[in-house]
Amino acid sequence: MRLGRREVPLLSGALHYWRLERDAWKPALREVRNLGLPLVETYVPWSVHEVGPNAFDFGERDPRLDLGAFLDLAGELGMQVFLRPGPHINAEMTHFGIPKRVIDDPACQARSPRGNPVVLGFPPRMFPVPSYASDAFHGEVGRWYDAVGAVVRDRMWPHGPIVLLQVDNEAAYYFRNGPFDQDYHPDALARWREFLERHHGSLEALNAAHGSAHERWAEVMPPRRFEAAGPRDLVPQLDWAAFKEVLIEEALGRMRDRMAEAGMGGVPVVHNLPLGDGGLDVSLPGIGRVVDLAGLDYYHPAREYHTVKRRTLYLAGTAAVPYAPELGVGAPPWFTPLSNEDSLFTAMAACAFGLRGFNLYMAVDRDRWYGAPIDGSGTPRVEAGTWKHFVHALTDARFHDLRREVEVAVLWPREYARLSRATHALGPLSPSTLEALGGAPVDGCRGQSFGLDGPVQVRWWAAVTTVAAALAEAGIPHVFVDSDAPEAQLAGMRVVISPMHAFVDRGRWMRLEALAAEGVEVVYGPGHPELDGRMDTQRFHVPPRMARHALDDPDAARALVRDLGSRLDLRRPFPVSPPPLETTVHGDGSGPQLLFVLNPAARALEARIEPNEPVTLTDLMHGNQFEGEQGVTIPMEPRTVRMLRIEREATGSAARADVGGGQTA
Amino acid sequence: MIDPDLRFEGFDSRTWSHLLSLFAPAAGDSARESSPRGTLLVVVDHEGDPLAALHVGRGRLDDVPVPVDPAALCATYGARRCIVLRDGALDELAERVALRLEPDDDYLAQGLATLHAVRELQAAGLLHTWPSRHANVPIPTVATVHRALDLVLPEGRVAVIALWRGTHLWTATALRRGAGGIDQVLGSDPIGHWCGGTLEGGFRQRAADVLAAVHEHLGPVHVGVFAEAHSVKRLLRQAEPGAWAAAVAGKEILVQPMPPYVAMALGADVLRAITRSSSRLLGERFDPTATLLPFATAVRQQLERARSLTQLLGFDPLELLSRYLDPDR
Repeated sequence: MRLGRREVPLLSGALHYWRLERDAWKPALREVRNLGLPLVETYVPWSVHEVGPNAFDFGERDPRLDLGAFLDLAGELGMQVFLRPGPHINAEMTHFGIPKRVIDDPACQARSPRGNPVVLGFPPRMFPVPSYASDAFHGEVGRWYDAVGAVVRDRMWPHGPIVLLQVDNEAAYYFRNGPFDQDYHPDALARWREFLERHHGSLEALNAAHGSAHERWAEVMPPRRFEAAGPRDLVPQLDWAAFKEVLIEEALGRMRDRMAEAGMGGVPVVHNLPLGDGGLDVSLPGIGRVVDLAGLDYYHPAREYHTVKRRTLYLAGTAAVPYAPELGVGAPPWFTPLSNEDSLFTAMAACAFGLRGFNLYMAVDRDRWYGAPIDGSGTPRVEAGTWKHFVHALTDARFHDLRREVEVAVLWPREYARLSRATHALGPLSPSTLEALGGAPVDGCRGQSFGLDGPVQVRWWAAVTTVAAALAEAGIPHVFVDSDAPEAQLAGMRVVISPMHAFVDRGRWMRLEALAAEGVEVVYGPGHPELDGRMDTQRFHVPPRMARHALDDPDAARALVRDLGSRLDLRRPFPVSPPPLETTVHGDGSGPQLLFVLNPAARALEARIEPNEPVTLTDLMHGNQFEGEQGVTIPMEPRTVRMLRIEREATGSAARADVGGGQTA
Repeated sequence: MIDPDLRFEGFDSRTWSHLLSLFAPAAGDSARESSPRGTLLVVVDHEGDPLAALHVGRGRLDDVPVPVDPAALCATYGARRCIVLRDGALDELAERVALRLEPDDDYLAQGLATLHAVRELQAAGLLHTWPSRHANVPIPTVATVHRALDLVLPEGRVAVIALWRGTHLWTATALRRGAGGIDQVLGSDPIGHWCGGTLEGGFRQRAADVLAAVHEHLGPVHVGVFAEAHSVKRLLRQAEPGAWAAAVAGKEILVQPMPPYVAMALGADVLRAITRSSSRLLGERFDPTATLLPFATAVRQQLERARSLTQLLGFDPLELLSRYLDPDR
């Protein structure tokens, strides 16, 4: 992040001012800074500051609520601020930080297919979640933003310390994101009809696509359950899945604009997606069109290495800046227990696969949390030392300036992900919940084919994971790029691999054709499409440099990767053995600078690394050095990551080894 | 049961994971590792044909045999339980729960309302669980649960557990029940702070300090458990009758104060140990459960009035245990 002439790594730590005694603010901020974090992050809790309907306390009654004083103190200590004024903040607060009077207002509540409130079961109280479409709710949010804006507008950069803002939090329908959980609020229905009109152009076209016979737009209702026998029946279901993404984007856009109107603007705006993003009915690229930084939150035990890897490869391939607005250090008590080793392993693995900036959540302990490296009085715990080493190592290595060279993109087909969500058979036990529990977002899908070439809603996932496994086995760096991502995300790729079945979004196919015409090697399969996204029959011609392959067959995928690797001479920097050890390399214009070695196994292993020239590797966390003529052997403790500086032995300068030429991630 | 203003704080990741580890199975427990694990979820259509199936944690299951036989599926996939759902059953559950909740319900009332809705679905044939051990267990009322909680931890009182490993505090927590339910769950940080900044020294040396500090800062302590961590871990994983009572009698574990329900549990533990040994001696015709039933009924009636172990049980269980364990008697 550039602040005037100054470059500041996008690294922050979370501290909740209202949950600390006022005299703990200064020592806690100092300790956050001592961790090496130039920014402090805090939510601003609506339900805490609101002391009556639209009456607010910003320190007049309770000194812990003096947000202005907190921001000024951070500025005095030379820190910048990442401010998150909600409205939804979760933060393990009752009603997720939204005042009860708003939660209880029927006009603000999301609606189920039968018009009932949509209840979230989180402790310490289940509550009806707000509607992202409700005008009444947006009105309430606007008044809250005005109240916060009055305090912070004069403290925005460059006049004050606030350099980042977040709009809302984990906007995924408050975790009630089953395909037909919500939102059937009247204001949502109005937006559904607007969406259909934009998407189909006219009521006649809609009737043709949906097989309906509506005479007026007011008659058009969304599906309330899954009903489909053939491909045509899938169109309304796919439209509903697409609309739910758009509804969130529109809501975030409204809130972003309202925040700016209230005086909170002029700095980058962030939004974050929760765990289970593979099954969420929101689109990271779609949100990326509304905010400046769309990122993912991370709370994983070390055993979820493959999930951390997959999510980060998706983030690195899809987002302009791979950023984690919440990188968990500790967790809420009702969450999967996380040790400090879990949190550190996740953080290092995410950086290894391309995460470029993060907010340590929480840096300072607070109510309904455990495991922060700094306690609630502002005193560093033993764990603070580890995090200090890690953050300083990243900063010293100028990690924020480095890039991971990638030549292969695996396309993440959004229309198939929508079909997976539409065919999910477990209702409120949603695809993202299954994913967050350690499964795959397609685990609960119906198994029928609906007249297609098999259950596409399940098979696309198999294709993605099979190809990715073959690439990882061969040591070929790759990323996942959402098919809805900006074209720039595919710039520089030499190979694009795209799952393909009986239907395809025409935009995706045309994009593949264009890539092939540009000289990119395009591989698709296992099927060949005959229908477009509206299930109309189409002929999809296959241009030169585009070939079909059995992507969901492990042996065929291995053969494909071998062929591509040798034919195109794809780079495999710093190969490592034995499996399941992996390496990733990060460099700059002068060559590779940092090597990550990852051991996801629950047992100790010796990593044998074979660089193409003699190098010295220095562990930036522990100081050990490793070198060798023919290869380097590095002991790896179970479930650990090493971050190693690469130096060429001959010159002592950064090695110019086997990196370059492709996309950076 | 949980106050909406619940405060939970003062744990680092080690003390919290230590606390949770007390209730986790021992590492390397081969019997457990080879036993069935996890839950199967099967969604069926109105004819009972499977639409989707998965093992939570292991993933999707294809080719589930028709008709769906939950017991056979559990055996095939090594699962502990199977839930068979009619298509749309969970959506139906969500609608019913939403209709049952009142704005000012507490979490307990909300949870019980959810259980009632689950029972309705079971009765309507939309949801079937296997095994169905709890299908006929009545769902308690809010008042019943509150009465039970009154016994375990009355309003305004605090429960404390503090465990050491040698001279180092291993984990500690204090729970307070306020008017709206559990309103404070505090960890080692504040307890250590109240005790002068450190809890070094071991459980016999520091239990009194902890009790006094918690009493001063949180409220009167209803029950306190102080011990070496390994003792409690061992006992939590060991089902041998009499083990808990022996540990208390041998002062391996300090329970102080000891409320009536703990005393009753220890007394029952003693009797379980004795009757088990006796039944071995007397043969299969001796049914210790039947023998203990009148006693248990009497104890339950006495429970709320009793103030001491001996008054509660009519005998001192620890004295009885020490006699029983004495080889000379």
